[in-house]
Order: sequence, then C-alpha cells, then structure tokens
Amino acid sequence: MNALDYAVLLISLLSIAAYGVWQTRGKRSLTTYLKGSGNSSWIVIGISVMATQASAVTFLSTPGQGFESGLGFVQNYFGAPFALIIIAAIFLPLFRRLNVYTAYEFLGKRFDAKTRLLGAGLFLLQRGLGAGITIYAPAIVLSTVFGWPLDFTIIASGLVVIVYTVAGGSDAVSLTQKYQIAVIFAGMIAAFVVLIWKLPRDLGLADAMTVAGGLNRLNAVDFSPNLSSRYTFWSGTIGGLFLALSYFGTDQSQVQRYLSSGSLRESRLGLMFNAIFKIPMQFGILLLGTMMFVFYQFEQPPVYFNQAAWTERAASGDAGEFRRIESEFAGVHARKREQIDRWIRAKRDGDSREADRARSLAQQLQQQSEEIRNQAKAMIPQANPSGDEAGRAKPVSDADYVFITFILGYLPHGLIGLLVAAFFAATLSSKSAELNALASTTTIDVYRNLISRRGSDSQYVFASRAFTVLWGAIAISFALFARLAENLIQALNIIGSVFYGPVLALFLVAFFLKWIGGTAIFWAAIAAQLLVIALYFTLDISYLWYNFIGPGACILLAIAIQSVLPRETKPANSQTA
Amino acid sequence: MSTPSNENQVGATQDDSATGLPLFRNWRAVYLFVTACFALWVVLLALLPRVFA
Repeated sequence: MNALDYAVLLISLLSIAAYGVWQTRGKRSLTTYLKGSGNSSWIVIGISVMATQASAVTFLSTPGQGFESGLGFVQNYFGAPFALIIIAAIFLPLFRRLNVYTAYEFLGKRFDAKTRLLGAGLFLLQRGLGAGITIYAPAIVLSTVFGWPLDFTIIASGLVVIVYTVAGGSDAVSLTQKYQIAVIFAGMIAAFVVLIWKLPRDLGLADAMTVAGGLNRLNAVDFSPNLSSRYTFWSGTIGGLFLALSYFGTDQSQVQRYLSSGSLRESRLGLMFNAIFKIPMQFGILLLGTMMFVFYQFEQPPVYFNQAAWTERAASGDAGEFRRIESEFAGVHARKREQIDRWIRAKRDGDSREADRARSLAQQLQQQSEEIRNQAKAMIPQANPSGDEAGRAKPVSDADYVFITFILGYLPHGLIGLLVAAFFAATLSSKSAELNALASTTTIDVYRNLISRRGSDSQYVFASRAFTVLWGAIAISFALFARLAENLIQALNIIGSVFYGPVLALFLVAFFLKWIGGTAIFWAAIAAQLLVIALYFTLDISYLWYNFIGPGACILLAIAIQSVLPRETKPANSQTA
Repeated sequence: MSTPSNENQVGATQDDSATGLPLFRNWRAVYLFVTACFALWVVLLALLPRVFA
C-alpha cells in the first residue's frame, strides 16, 4: 500500500464514522440509543439489514469459496426470500404492536421470564461467538497487507469497532451503513472490472464463462437429495429457510435494524428489498471468485495463497519438499494452460471433437492441480504439528487468502486502498450492529429485567455503552481462537445453525401454538439444544439441516411436555400474541 | 362514533396495509412478486452450466 491507498482508506472510513457521530450528537435517550429515532425510510432499512448480514467475512471469504468450489454456496441463501416473507407478514406486525426493544421481550410477554432469558441467553452465546469470527476476517487482511502479527491486528481492529459503536448507537449504525455499503459495492465492482480487464486480450467474457463451466465452477444448483452434500437445492431451501427465519426473525442484530423504522410499511419494504436482492448479490460475489479462478488459469497462482505461512513453514521444515511441490504445481499449470488455449481455439474453429479432447485433458490436469494444492495445504500443519508458541494450530483455510492475494498482486494503487476500506466498512457496519444488539439485549433483558428495574434513562444508556465494551472484549477473545475454524463464512453459518434452531422454535410456538405454555417450551428448548449439539458431533450431514432438526425437535418436545402439564394461566397484565 | 385514538389506529392500519408501490396494491402481490423473482433466479442459475458447458 502506498500513500494514495492510505489516503483512500482513511478518508473514506473516518469521514463516514465522523458523519454518523455528528448526525446523532445530542441524542441520548434510551429509545434513540437502542432503537433509533424512528424515521428511517425503507431503503435505509433495507441497506441496514443487508449491511448487518454482509460482514467483511462475506466479501473476503466468499470469493475464495467461488474460487475453490464454484457457485454452489449460493444455494445457502435459497430459503432467505421465503423467510423474509414470513417475517414481514407475521413476525413484524407482532413485534411492532408490542413495541418491544428486543425480540426476547416478546417471549417474556408471551411466555414467562425464564423463557425470555433463555432466548436472550442463546442469542448472546451464539452471537458472541460469531462476533469473534467477524473481527478475525479483516484482521487477516491487515496482517497480510501490513505484515503485522495477527493477534495484534485482531485486538487493534476490535478496539476501533468498540470505540465507533459506543459513540454511535442505533441511529448512527443505520446512518453510516448506507455509506459503508456504497464503499463496499464500489470496491467489489472495481475489483470485478479490473479482473475482467486483466484476462487475456483474446479471451472474451463468454470464453471465460466457458472455461469456468468446463472446469465445474458454474454448477450453482444441485437437485440431488444427498443429505451429506453441504449445499443442495433442498438443504439450501429448507435448511436455509429455517436459518434465515432464525437469523432475520429472532436475531436481535437484525430485529433491531427493521424495528428502527417508524412504520410497518417501511420495515416490510426494507425486508422485501433483501428478499429480492440477497441471491443475486451472493451470486455476484461468488462469480467474482469464479472469474478469479479463470484468471489464475492464465496466470501462475501460488500453490498456497497464504504465502506468509508457506514461506515460514518452508524455512522451518523440509525446504526441498516445499520446492518440489511448487515446481510440480507450476509444471501442471503450464500444461493445463496449453490445453485450455487449445480448447478455446478449437471451440472458435468449430472443431468440437478437438475441443472436447482438450477440455477433458484440462479437466484431468485441474484435478491433478487440486491434488497438489491439497498436498500443499497438508504441508502446513505437518511442518509444525504442535502449532505455534501457544500450542495452537495455525490457519489451514487457504481460500480466505485468495481474494486478498489477487488484490495486492493485480489491483492498481488507490483501488487497493478502496478494497481495504471496503473490508473495514463491512466490519464496522456489521460489527457495530452486532455489538449494539448484544448490548441492547444485555441491558434490556438482563440488566433492566433482573438487576435494576427502576433506573433512569441515562443509567440504562450508560449500561448499554458499558455492555458494548464488554461484548467487544469478548468478541476479541474469541477472534484470537477463530483461526482454528475452517473457511470463515462457513464457520459463522455452522455456529448459527447449531444455536438458532431452538431459538426459532420459541418464536414459532409463540406465534402458532398458543396452547403451549412457558414451562413446556423452556425445557423443550434446552433438550433440543443439547440434542442438536450431540448430533452435530456424531452425524455426518450438511449443517444446514440442523436449522430444520432443531426447531422440529423443540416443537415436538414442547407438544409432548405440554400434554402432561396443566394449562398455564397468564397474569392479567401480560400481553400475548 | 370512533375516538381520536381509534381513528389513529384505523389510519395506521390503512397506511400499513397499502404498499405505496405503483403496481402492487396489496402485500400478497408483493410476496408473489418476490416468489416469482426467486423462481427466476433458480432457473437462471440452473441454466448457467448448461449454457457454458
């Protein structure tokens, strides 16, 4: 990075943050701090919902997924449009009618205090864990770009997020998110344009897509009923529906976003905006990775993208073996490029037999290339099996380094700064919303509910700021261990899938099974959560299915438990759905 | 005769039931449009590898 990159990075990020703080100065009531001033339009709500979900992990890790395995990951989002319709039609009117700060307040009004605490506790647990991973992603960028130690980078970027969030509050989060998403899209579109421009001159976009398709990177939809396949149409639509229903409908970081509007109409339109554009957006990010894959068919890629780890291991281990792998990989790559050139030429000449032969050879060489890359990946832990000085395993997910390696190697100065700013903007936007939600839930559902019922507004705002700092510190601690996880975006979804199911069941029972009381659903949720954790460690099925198994088991258990319990009568002052 | 409070509630309900969009009079039409968009995305994505095989 040069001075121009630093200027782009600092000006874009600091001006947005300063704007958010300036616009929300003097707003210090609890309602404004946690829910915003209530005048957000549908487009602000829509962008805010989108920016909260799309963290730096989305923009850093997803192109790597597209590079490694093609477009299949887009199926993960197939359930989202249906989930958002259900939330807009059923969840949203009830949340608004009860005028709640948090989604878990609703559980308290419908069931009882212990069920409210259980819902809030599960949210705090899984979101606190996930928060660590979203700090880890930009830390990779920084440690690669600046050569700083990863632990230091995690702590430094985490502190920036904490300061920004404590100063901001909900209104500042929404206000800044629309400018942050503009920086993010500007960066991603610029990277895409440069990538296409850097392809060989005689290779058209259609040829590039043909190469991607011929080497199995365009298979986006898999209709096979295989339960162990991670991404299929069925796991994405059914499991993804429950995952999205849990995330958008019961996760306070999202509920807080769409409750910040003054009217039901604006909130609904904001959700529908996401229902329409979520799939194309994810497709676009994956396609960027797929085009990077095509680009690296014509440029020699490193055998292992995390070059810092590769060089370090090569120096400390058997250097000859590392060089042998690099040399073998380069040889296979050169032969593969010859076959791809032959394939494209034959295709243009209309010689389909020659094109098929060349494509088949290119596919075989691609398989060999992937096998060598797998050997290279295996070399990293082998070179230092006991991990680092602290005894931890070093990162093994090379896919997360693919995009940043391309950015640093091929983008012009200025755009490098814009892309790094985009990663930071994504971190700030999602992290500030997450910390704001964690602090709101702790303040409203724990502190105000259990510890200080008659406090003043300023006392609760102070508590909310203090909890923001506390959750930020916890997120940093988890981020220091996130390197143990596989591909970051998957790790985030796996954590969500394990914990979201029972929380979703609490809300589904609250909405649709009104004869079930708090005691039955409380114990059913605890049993279902333990069951999902046990199944996760014993079964070999796509994690998306836990989003279906969790609520299914919880609802069945709640019905069974309620059938042997006496009907509960709600206190006269309680409100129900 | 309705009270001011009731009138406000009726007004809010009417405001919420209208989508404010030119081609969609009610929310059911919006939800159908979103579902149609989803079907379109899936068809296009399924066709992609066939087009560039």
